Amino acid sequence: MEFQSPVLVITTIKSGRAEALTALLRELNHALWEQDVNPFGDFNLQHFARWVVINDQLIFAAAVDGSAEDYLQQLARNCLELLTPIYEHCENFPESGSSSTESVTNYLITHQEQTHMFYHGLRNRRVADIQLESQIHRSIEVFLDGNQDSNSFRANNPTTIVETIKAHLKGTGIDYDSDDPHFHSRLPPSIKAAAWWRWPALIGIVLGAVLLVPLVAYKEWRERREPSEQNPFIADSQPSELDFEEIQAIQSPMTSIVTIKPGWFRGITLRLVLWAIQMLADHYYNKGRLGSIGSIHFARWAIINNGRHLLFLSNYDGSWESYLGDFIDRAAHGLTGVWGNAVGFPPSKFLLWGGASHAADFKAYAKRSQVATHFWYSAYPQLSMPNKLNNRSIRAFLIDSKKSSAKHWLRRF
Amino acid sequence: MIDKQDIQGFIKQGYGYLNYGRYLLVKIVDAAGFKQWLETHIDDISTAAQSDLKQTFNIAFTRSGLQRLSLPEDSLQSFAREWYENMVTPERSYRLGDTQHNAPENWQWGAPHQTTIDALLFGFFETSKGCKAWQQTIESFDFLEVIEVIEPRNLPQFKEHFGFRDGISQPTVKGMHKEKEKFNALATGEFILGHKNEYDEVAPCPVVNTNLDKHLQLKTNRQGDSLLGFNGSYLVFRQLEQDVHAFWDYVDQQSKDEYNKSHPQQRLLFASKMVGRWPNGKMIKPGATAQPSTGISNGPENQFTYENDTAGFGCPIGSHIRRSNPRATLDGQKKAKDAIKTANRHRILRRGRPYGEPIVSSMQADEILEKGNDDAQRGLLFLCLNADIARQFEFVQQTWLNNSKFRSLYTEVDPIAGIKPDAEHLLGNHFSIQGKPFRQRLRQVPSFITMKGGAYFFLPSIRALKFLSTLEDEA
Ligand code: HEM
Repeated sequence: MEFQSPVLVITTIKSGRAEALTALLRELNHALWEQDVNPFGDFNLQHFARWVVINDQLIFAAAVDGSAEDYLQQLARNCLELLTPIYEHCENFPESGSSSTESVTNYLITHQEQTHMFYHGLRNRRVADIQLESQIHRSIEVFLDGNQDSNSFRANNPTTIVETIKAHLKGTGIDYDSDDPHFHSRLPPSIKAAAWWRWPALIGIVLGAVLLVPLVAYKEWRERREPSEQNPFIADSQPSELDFEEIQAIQSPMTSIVTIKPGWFRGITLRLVLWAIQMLADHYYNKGRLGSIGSIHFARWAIINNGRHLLFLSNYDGSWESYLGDFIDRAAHGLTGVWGNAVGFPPSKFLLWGGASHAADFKAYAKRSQVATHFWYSAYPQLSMPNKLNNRSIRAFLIDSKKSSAKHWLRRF
Repeated sequence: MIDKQDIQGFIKQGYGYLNYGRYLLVKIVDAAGFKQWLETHIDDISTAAQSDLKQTFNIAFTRSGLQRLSLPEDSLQSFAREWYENMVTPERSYRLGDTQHNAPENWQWGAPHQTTIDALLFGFFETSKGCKAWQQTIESFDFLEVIEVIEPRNLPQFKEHFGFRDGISQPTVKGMHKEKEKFNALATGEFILGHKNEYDEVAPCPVVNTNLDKHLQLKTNRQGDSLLGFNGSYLVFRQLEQDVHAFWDYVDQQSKDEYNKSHPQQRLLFASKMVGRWPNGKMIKPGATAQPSTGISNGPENQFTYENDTAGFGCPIGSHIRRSNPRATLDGQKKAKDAIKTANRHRILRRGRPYGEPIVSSMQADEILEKGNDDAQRGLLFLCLNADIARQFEFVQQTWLNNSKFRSLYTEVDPIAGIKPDAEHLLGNHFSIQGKPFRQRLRQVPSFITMKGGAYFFLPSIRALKFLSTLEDEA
């Protein structure tokens, strides 16, 4: 079983209703961020969630605990009042009055779409774990604030300081040291079980690439002589609206959609590259970093609309400028491998070169491909990825002090 | 090699040796008159080829300025979006932290409700007399109106008003400066438009239709457009008022001993930890508690890359200088070389000077505290040059200084220059001083600076100035 799964539900909006639906989502978003009204209430299986209207489609995407089906079932059970007014704008949604938990669950499940590549920054933490660990961290910080200026306290040896901290935590009633079976394994069993074939798989990737690259190079050469098309999705999102999305600065969403170059060839290349990246993410980059990028909570690519469009969704820390800068500085090959298959991308060479490493062109392309995220939810908007990882290590030591030394652990504050 | 005669001298140096200066923010009221004057005075403009000048003159424009000179819209749009929109848009204000007490509503100049600024004329002088005479000449012109006169002031020992030595760490521009520190040597295109930058690319450069360039002043690109931006740069100007008394008062409170008595040594240490250097510019070594003395041959130092202080025991991770240039210890890069390379894509060439009288001439903390708050205006005229405002200045401000999650920190922004969230804000605002056996955290650090005005300017090349001065007026 996976600890976390990507949920992707795409439905068609009834004609003439897109505007009203967009307005409703914006309203929910405003209430959430400005007035602290959480539309999910106590239901907290989603780390991140978003609803986006793109032309006549409504996209619901979430990174959730457990499996996607379970999640959708629970969502329908717990949040019917949230879902109904949203999905009433969509085709084939059960008529009002007849919508029940089952029919809504069914509706959502049947409109699910595949996610082709899913990256999770911190794999084995449920929302509840992350929130608990944040609470433990904050409680210790406050305790240390109270004692930091006392010379006699500071003169204690680290082990004694740790014992006092534990005594303090005990006093607060926070459940800081009960063990949790998920804790010790970084990876879900399915991936662990598959670990033996990662070397053959890697060799496969290399061989595949050797065969693929000349073909791609040929295509690139052909395409360079064709005029590149514009992205048709820039539709209604004003640049300034997008700018506002990233001023939150701690975390931001990015929603991007591009058209895949026509023909079977690009479709196959794209799927192979996404599969290869998924392999790398599962088996190598599973410690909170994608390559050397440590600022991504969750991200995904999905090929949608019968292979015509490529959707990219991400929840990242910091500013747009720093996120895109990280892409260019640290992940240009991977991105070129993926987006090079899309219309209008800066020209690539041999599949993985060029493209995203053209800094200015790539940023312009990313801006053009971005659409507004009308509703966006985060279960822990005050935590960055490094915070989550640090909090996890703090708790790991409290459960099992063999994990670190008291001296080093104290530097985590 | 770059053509230094074509480049305004302010890119090469800040003329710190000239003690007097003026920044005149002007509105162009008669474009034809202005152009005529500019055309005949091109030779007065200080270039990077000149040195040891006793008097300087440089000039930069906002979008409205170039609009007034009849530069067509398509050309204006080929400039950086940040410059085109200028410093005040609602989104940009959020991004830069120009909200609450820093909001444009409270500025002295540059806000939308104030007179639009077209150009910045500025010069530095050996004597106060020369400086005044120059200002009077400019003010006497009837083709422009001086909206704001800003007077910089050099403080003793190159200090800024809090009492710390400034102007130490600076990138050197390849082809222009002699290399000082290897990690500080940056590609020309990071600061001068039309040249290769740190990505080894020539970034998009403002252009103009060649037909308008009657005297063929400008270089052309392969598409046949004239490169108006070539050898120019973008100049960021922000007037930051400093509350010097509040700064030392806060640090004094934080460093009091168990009997609530001031502790001068601890106070100086805390203040230095916030900046990241001692007042005399020396680096803070892990475990140090007092400022090392400097000899003449033994001034401030800049060879460090934090590799020997990854934990921040000397210079805290969240201090002003470590945020504004993380050098080799930017998160996530294993190799120092790679980290420096990434950090170097976000560097700025600082050209700031203080303004206003120092609160006390010694600028010593005990005297400042004794004197109390005097309500006088003083601060930093923060100027910097860069080729990509979004990737350089705005990035530093937003992603490094004002980011409460910088690296793996939780709840703090730059203790000196950061824009602090309001008190009831979720994240509060602290400052962690990493140490043994665990950190000390200064709590609820207030804001010590207030934004008073700002704008983005374009600093054209000499040839571009010639072009602009001969540009035909709109019919
Ligand atoms: C009133 C506000 C400010 C004060 C008092 C101040 C003061 C200082 C001081 C004392 C230094 C150390 C000396 C040196 O290395 O030159 C410094 C360095 C620096 N400051 Fe500021 N600063 C202010 C605002 C800013 C702002 C707004 C920025 C950028 C957006 C900035 C960017 C830098 C940079 C890049 C360095 C050099 C860091 C390095 O390379 O080590 N400063 N500042």
